[in-house]
Amino acid sequence: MKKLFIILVFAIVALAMTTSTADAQCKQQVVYQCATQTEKAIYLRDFNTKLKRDAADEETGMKWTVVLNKGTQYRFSLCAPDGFQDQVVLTLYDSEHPENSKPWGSTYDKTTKSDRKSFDFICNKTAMYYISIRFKAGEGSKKACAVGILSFVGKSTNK
Amino acid sequence: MHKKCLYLALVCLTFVQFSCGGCDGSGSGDVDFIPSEDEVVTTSDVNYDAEAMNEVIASFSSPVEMAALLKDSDVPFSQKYLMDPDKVNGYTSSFKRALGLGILSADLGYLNVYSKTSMILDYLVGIRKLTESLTLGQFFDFQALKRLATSDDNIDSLLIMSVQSYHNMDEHLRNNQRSNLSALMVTGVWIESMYLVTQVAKERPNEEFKNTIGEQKGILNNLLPILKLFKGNDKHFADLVGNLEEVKEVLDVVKITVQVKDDLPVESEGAIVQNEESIVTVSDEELSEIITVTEKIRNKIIN
Repeated sequence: MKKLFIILVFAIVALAMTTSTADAQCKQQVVYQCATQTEKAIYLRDFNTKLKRDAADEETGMKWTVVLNKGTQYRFSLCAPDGFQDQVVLTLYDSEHPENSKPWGSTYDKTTKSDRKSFDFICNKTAMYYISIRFKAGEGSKKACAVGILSFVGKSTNK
Repeated sequence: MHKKCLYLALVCLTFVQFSCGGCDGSGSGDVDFIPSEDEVVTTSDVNYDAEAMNEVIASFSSPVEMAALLKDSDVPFSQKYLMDPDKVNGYTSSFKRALGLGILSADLGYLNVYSKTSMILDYLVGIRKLTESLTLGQFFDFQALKRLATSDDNIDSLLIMSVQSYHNMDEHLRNNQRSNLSALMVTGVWIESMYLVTQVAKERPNEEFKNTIGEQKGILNNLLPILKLFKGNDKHFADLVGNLEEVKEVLDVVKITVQVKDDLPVESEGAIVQNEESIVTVSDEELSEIITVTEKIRNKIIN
């Protein structure tokens, strides 16, 4: 009976911890690895979210606001745990360039259906922008997490 | 006996669930209390659209961005631009401490970007004092940062960890009805970053710095309405708004127009080039006035 009790407790604790982890943001280690993969770019901030889709048409993930400055080349990188990299997309947009129609940039090209881990953006207008990290349409059968990194590549030389 | 086992297991499960309250990385799970000394205005006293306000506060630049721009422009390091971290010993109100935390965070960013590890410790000590008095100590791992600061090899880790600490503190304040302190932190970062670039522009005038300074008009126009929300009967906030209104007055002469070049953004050498460009117009005399007023207000704020 004592054995049964111990097994039961361990099973419930393990289940509770698994649920909690799957429903959480990415761990610090994932953020750090992602932040140090940006080559020589300087880390500015990260965007960490849990991803969960309960219904097919449900919006997942999060959006954040960020001020980007004119004359700067920024890098946006996206990291997700193994098995989820091609299910997640990071998008840069603003009110006049909506997320789903003509965003400024994205890690997923809908036309060619190709993914990229990061993209650079040369900002020519200081303003408030949005960054979102979400499951792609049709993806998200399991809970996941993802991290976006914003980094400073350098002054823009493009004129 | 079976029932007893199940009850015990349920108690264990409940304990695990509650003890994991901070496992999402949003906080340590520590009880947060508002320092009592002088907090006249708190978020709960103010009528506002909390989501919209927090969205604006969260959007403000990272405390390392201006420093990164200066370094990329080959501007040499200079300690004279930085605040003396010992000044925080005289900061007795949470208003002053939150502002000081933003200012020192920008200075720490500057030291990080220029890899001045030998000077970083004094700033870490100053920030620790401020975070502890603002009950934000759980987001600032002084020992870990100190360890990283003692080795030149860890400068990237130091930068990442210190910037993350800043953002975690800011997020925690906004999520716990202390957006007034969060607004002060971002104001501190903004005024110090503005001071850095204007001091550099004074010594090394060029068009790039002129543009960067002129573009701050839009940033200040977003920041001021938030600070005004907390003005109420709080003298500290009212004074700060008054000071920043002086900066706004000299920035208001800057003209910013937007030109759209093409229909779509284009890519150049793998980078997306934004096809909308803001054009900043500011004369040398106007710039000189902005530099003077920024210096005056920043020095007033830190003293």
